[in-house]
Amino acid sequence: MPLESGTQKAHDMTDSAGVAAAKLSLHGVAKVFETRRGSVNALEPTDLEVQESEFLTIVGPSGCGKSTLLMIASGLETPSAGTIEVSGRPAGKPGPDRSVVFQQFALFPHMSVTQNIEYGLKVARVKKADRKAAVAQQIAVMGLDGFQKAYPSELSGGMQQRVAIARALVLEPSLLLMDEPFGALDAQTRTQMQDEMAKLRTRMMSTVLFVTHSVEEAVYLGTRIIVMSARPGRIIANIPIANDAPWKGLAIEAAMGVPAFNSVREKVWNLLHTKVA
Amino acid sequence: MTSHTLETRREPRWYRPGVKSGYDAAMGTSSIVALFAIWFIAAVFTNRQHPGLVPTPIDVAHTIVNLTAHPFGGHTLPMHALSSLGRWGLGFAVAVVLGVPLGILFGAVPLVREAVSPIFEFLRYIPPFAWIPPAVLWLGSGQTSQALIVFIAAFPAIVISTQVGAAGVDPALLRASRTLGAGALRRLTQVVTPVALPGVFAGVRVAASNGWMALIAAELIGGRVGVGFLIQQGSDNGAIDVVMAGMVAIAVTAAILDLVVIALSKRLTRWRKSAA
Repeated sequence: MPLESGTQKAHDMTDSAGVAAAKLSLHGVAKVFETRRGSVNALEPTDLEVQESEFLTIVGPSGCGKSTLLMIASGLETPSAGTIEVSGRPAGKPGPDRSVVFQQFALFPHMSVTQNIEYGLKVARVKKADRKAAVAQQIAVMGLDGFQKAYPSELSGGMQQRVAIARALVLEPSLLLMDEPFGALDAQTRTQMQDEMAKLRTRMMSTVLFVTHSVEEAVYLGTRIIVMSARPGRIIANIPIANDAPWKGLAIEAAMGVPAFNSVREKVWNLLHTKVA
Repeated sequence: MTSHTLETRREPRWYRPGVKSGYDAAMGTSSIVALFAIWFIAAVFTNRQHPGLVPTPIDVAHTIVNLTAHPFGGHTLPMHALSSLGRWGLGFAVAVVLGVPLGILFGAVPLVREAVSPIFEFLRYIPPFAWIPPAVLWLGSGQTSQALIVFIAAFPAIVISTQVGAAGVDPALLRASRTLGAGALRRLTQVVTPVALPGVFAGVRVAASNGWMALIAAELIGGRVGVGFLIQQGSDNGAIDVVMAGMVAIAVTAAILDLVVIALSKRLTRWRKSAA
């Protein structure tokens, strides 16, 4: 989907495919890595549908294929089998319709904060005035004011990840893919980013696929939780979260004191720990 | 002696690898002063036995002033130096213009590297000086053949360092730029090349001095003008002070070139942590 304007709201649903198509559908997607010691089954054939404006969190231990699943969804990784559709159409190469936020930020070290955020808009040939407006908006939303000219090496991890999120959001992707985005941050910054992500979420309304190994994070942010298990990587549970769950709107520290939150957390925890092979 | 004393023994105070002493400018200046002092003393002593064999720094300074005003070997010293610089610039510029893109391709595209690097590895072990006779034979002893020698001396360092720099670019950056919609050409020019620049400059610095030294050698063998030719003329005329004036001019010019390359490198890689 070509990007028409940098200032449009994220939740435009003018999609020709009509009502029924999921935002993202994976059909029988599998991944086998060939190594010198033989083939490794990273991901069993998996079906997954992400609906418009869902915040789907995928939680699982390392080696369960959750990141592989996300990379396949982004187009960066080619599945060994299966098909991927975005809004009912076969997904092709990676592109700005499916923005990715990486665990290691992956900011361009030679570009300032502004240039990093602007990059995707320049690639999409958005007009300069529209670019400037869209970047300014993201700078304000992500709390990056005053750091416009800073290089990534001059920023803390938390600030770098804000830039990376801004760089993805500025393209108004129909699908935002986040691969353990807060996994490389220190505990305090992580909590802060989780709170901000929850607030941002209520504003932006775009569809998010969010991979994490933190059960708390998955339960706190998700409107639906997919639990995966390792060796072989596969989906073992699908837990929807009610929109009016009692911890929605609370900060994560407060949410952890809510009994309903803890019962979901325990449920996910038990799923992860009884399935150890 | 117990292990406790072993563990707590401290490094000597002067042993601080990678740390500046705080006296670096003073140390540099005093070592250069010491060099000139040793040269001066050595010259005075040898002149007692063999007068005129080793000119003192003061003699050479006089000669430099003299050569600036009066032509030797057809031109003044500054004209010889400028002439050398021009040919160096030509060969060096071609080496950069061809070497950086080739190095980027080598680093980023394994197919190109695998196809071209055997030829490259074969040719780069031929010293640039070995190319002087065929270059003079084929192109004459003029501007072109000497610029070619500079190119041959400078090119490998640029290609190899650029390749190392390009191959070291974090693949996550390439993945990120793909998800932001960038095509292959844009990834090479806007991500790989600028991020590889510190490596490129490491090579450019080595290439600049390699090219300069090879040029002087080429001018010594067959030239009509240039600092190397000036030295050769001084030698033919038994004017050792002219030879040494030429040597000083070579060193000073090379030092200036190096400073220019370092300044350019700092300017273009400001984003690096060390530069912040």
